[in-house]
Amino acid sequence: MLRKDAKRITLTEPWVEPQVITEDETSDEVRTDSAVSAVFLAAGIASAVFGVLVIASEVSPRWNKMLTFMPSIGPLSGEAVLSILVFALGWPALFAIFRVRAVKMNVAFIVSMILTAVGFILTYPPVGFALRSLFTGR
Amino acid sequence: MGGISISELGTLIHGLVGFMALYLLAFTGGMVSLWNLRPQRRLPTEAIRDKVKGLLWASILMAVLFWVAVLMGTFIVYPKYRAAPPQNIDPKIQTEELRFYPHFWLIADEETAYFDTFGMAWKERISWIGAFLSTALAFAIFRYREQVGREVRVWAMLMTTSVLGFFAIGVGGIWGTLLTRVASLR
Repeated sequence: MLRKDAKRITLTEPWVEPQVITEDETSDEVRTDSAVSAVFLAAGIASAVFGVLVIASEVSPRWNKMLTFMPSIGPLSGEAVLSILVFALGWPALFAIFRVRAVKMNVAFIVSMILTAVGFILTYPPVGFALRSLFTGR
Repeated sequence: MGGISISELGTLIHGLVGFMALYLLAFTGGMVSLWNLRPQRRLPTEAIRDKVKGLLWASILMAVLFWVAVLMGTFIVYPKYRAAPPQNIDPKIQTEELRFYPHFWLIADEETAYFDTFGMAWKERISWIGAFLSTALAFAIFRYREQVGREVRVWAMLMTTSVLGFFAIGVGGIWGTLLTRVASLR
């Protein structure tokens, strides 16, 4: 159904079909969608958490040991398992939050891209080397 | 059977699904569909529906392949890559015996250490971010369907995520190929 007058549509249930907001697709209408906002934000948070854990294992021998869930894999095992948990639990948790308090999808997406960029930067090895030598002198 | 162990099979499948063949196929198909769906084209509903069907399957395939690749890579292939040589092999000299232990073989020489400290370190980590992004991408396409071809913002969001996901798998795939050439798992 086309709605010329509507400026915003809130979709809080995953089974609700997304709708066309206006006849003009290039307009400045803003969609709020809890399910998609939740998955993008969960992906962003999991990426950033992964990056932070990588740096933690690089700069701190204690964290390196704590994150070594499986000795044959090293700290990558803890980094992977914990970030999977953050993603898997964060997605439904954020969805539940956004159902109560709607968030604009473009805001959620931009925040998620910033968090993803943090993840990309922190997992780039030279960043880990630099922070390690800064904190430990090694 | 004369020869292939579970971990060798894991390495083979990881290399195959992780990058070259299947993922590139799914990504190319998905990108063509997504590009053709750009809202500025104002396609009729039927045409959008047809193209979205292909895009949806490609994105689901990409997400599944990404997860298979990172899970196998981390939990099956990586332990073999990191395995320590027995005491009768000197880990500081690049001998033929040490080649069976790629991590130690690479770091035994300054010229090849870069492949481990930079290449493997980057590849093993960035791929996980790609797995999260590809899941979000597939879910968003599943949810929006025809809206992908109607709303510029939705389309732009999906295009951005696809490109970032491809960057992640690209880094993983290129370094995976280089590492296989320099110090392949045996």
